[in-house]
Amino acid sequence: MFTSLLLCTHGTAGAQYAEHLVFADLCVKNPDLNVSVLTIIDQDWQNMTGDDWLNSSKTHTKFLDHVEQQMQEENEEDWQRIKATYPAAEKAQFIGVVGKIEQTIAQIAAKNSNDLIVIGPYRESRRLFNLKMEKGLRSRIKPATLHPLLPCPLLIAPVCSITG
Amino acid sequence: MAQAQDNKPLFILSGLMIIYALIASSDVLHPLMKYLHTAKTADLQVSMGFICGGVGILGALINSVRKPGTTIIDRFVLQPLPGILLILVMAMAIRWYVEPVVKLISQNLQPVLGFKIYKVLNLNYVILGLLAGVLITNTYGIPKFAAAGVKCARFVLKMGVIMLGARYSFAELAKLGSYSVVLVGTFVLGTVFLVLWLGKIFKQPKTMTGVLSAGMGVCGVSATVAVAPVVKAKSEEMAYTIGTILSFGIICMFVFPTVGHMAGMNPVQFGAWAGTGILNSAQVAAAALAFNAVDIKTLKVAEIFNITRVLFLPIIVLVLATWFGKQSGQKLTFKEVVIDKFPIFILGFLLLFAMSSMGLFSPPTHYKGKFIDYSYNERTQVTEKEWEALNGAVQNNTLQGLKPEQLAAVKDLVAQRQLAGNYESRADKKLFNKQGQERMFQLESILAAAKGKVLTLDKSVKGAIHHAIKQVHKKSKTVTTLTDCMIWFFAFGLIGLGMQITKKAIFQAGGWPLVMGIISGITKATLSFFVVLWLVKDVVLK
Amino acid sequence: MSKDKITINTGDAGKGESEIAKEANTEELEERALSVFSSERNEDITALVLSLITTFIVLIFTKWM
Repeated sequence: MFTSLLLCTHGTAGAQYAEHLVFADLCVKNPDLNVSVLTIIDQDWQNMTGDDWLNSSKTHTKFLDHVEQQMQEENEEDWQRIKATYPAAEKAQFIGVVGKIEQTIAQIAAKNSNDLIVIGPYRESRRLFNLKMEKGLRSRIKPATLHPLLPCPLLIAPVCSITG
Repeated sequence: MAQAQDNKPLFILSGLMIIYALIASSDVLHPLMKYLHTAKTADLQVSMGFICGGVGILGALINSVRKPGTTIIDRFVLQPLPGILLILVMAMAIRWYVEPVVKLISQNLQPVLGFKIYKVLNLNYVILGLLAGVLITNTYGIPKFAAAGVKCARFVLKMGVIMLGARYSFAELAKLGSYSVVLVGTFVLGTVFLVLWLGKIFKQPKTMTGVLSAGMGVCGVSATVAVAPVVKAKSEEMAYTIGTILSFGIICMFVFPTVGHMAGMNPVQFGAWAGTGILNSAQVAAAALAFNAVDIKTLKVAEIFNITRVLFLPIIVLVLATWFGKQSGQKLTFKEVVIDKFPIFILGFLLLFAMSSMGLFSPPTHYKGKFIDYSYNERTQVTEKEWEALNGAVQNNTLQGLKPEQLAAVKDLVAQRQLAGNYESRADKKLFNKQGQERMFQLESILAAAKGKVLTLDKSVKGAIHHAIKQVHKKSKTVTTLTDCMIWFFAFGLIGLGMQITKKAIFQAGGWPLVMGIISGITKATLSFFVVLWLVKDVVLK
Repeated sequence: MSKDKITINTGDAGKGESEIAKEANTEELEERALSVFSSERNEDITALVLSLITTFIVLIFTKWM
């Protein structure tokens, strides 16, 4: 029924349910499925300089350059992990974009004319009390922002056991 | 960004300012101002309203007539103007209305709570401004029209620091400088090594301890931002570290002044402690102004410490770069780190210091720059504590043995919170000064009588009268005006910087950086507290 | 994150010699260093000049007039 699918992931436990659903379930049942994997570099990184006022713009730009490069490298690693875990991911298209999360998801889905967006389920982050660190910025998809922008249906992957 | 600008906000903001100035220039608001204790600034309120509103209208008119381009005027004046006006409106509203109202409310709540909220949380206009900035960003978000203006906050704060340079003497700079080099040097290096050591104990990656140690050691987020590319920090390390430092810093901003007041620190001690213990340098300035917003002594000390830290930053970057250089394969030269990153605004600070030392700002007609000025000014007032002592003495009739004119002078001091002429005669400078002189004579005679044991005065009352007299012995008009400008720059800058603290950034806190940050941050704050109390005793600022 | 992630060509930097995704949008991040100044322009100098101007205006009004 769906032919072109946009999988949004940034490697967290929640997103891995979505990966599992797409590559271990949907792609196996429907091998012709065209999958794009989208990893967003959060625009809000630029707010991470907080109330710093000592550095000049040059240092800020250098910092953001580094963030971006670093995030791209980490995304690459993440994509390699997906490719290694799911054979079906081999022919998927991988996209890394800088932007606001909700807007970017909607934009990319519209641009690629995807007909289904897949995201992971809601997940407690407990970042403050958890010593195990998670990649990237802690950030949530806000349904209230995302839903009005959606160009196509949105599928939220269920929690499941990932066997790889 | 050459898109048509929306002029409505600019028109509305500047219109509001002009309307307010018009209302304030008639005496309609006088009872309200008197109730809020802001009547003394009425003239300033009117002129600031007219000037800023006028500039705003002019800018809006230019904007609506000419096509937006990418010229320098466009980028640096016309586009940021709405945002600058927004922050100015906020600063004025907070300074003249919100702060007095908060004071009144917490005074009225005192019987219920048992303490004054604004005193415990140090809610003066600086802190309120910063909080207002944080609040706006995290609720409504920075309005689109103001975005360009908010970005000016950083360099307006730098202007504030530059202008502060005019307020130091050689002796002060030398003394404070040596203290700050010792304290900052010890604690910067100490914290950096503590964090590196903690990282080893907890078996954390070197890249993470690298960013965290710079952030905890030198100047918070600024150092993290400068060091992250050098040590090639991973995304989660940067996010967690910055979140931890931001949240720790905001807590410090409230805790430090309160602890300082409770421990009875003097301005110099507090400035030294805040300058060493608080991480983010903007928060150092905020805490110093929170400790004492009227008198700039604390700020003077804290800024020297800040500047020392800024000078230490490239050294730390260099050290960490050599430490991690082998791993990242990135080589940094001395020129890249120290010369390219040298903060030029410190040269500006020194330039103003030199200009002031050459006597450029002292008035030509006054000997050695000091003279007596009775005009209304926040910095002429007695402190809150002193006022309470005086007010209590007058209310409870404990001032026995005073002549009626002496008592009248004390009562007027209580009413006006400063030595001055009659409020009604403020337009007639000659009469006003004469009345002020008369009162000062009476107050001086009280002190003389107390010294001669003719009458006995409570120690706090004596101190308050002494201070009131001292307060009207003024630095030159130029210096006070420069200081006023500087305080406005700081207020402006801190509101703007508050607008850049997002809750998303704060909520990145957690993980190992939080654990190590708390350990090293608290260690640093506690140790520096005791070291400052032990070491900084003899510095007296003018 | 799965522990058994495959090793990618790490080079001596400890990081992947990864090619950067072609569609990555670099402009948006670079555009905003949260300052009115583009990276080339030195904001410190502007701050210095502006405070000197303020100083002279203050001097004109309070001393030389």
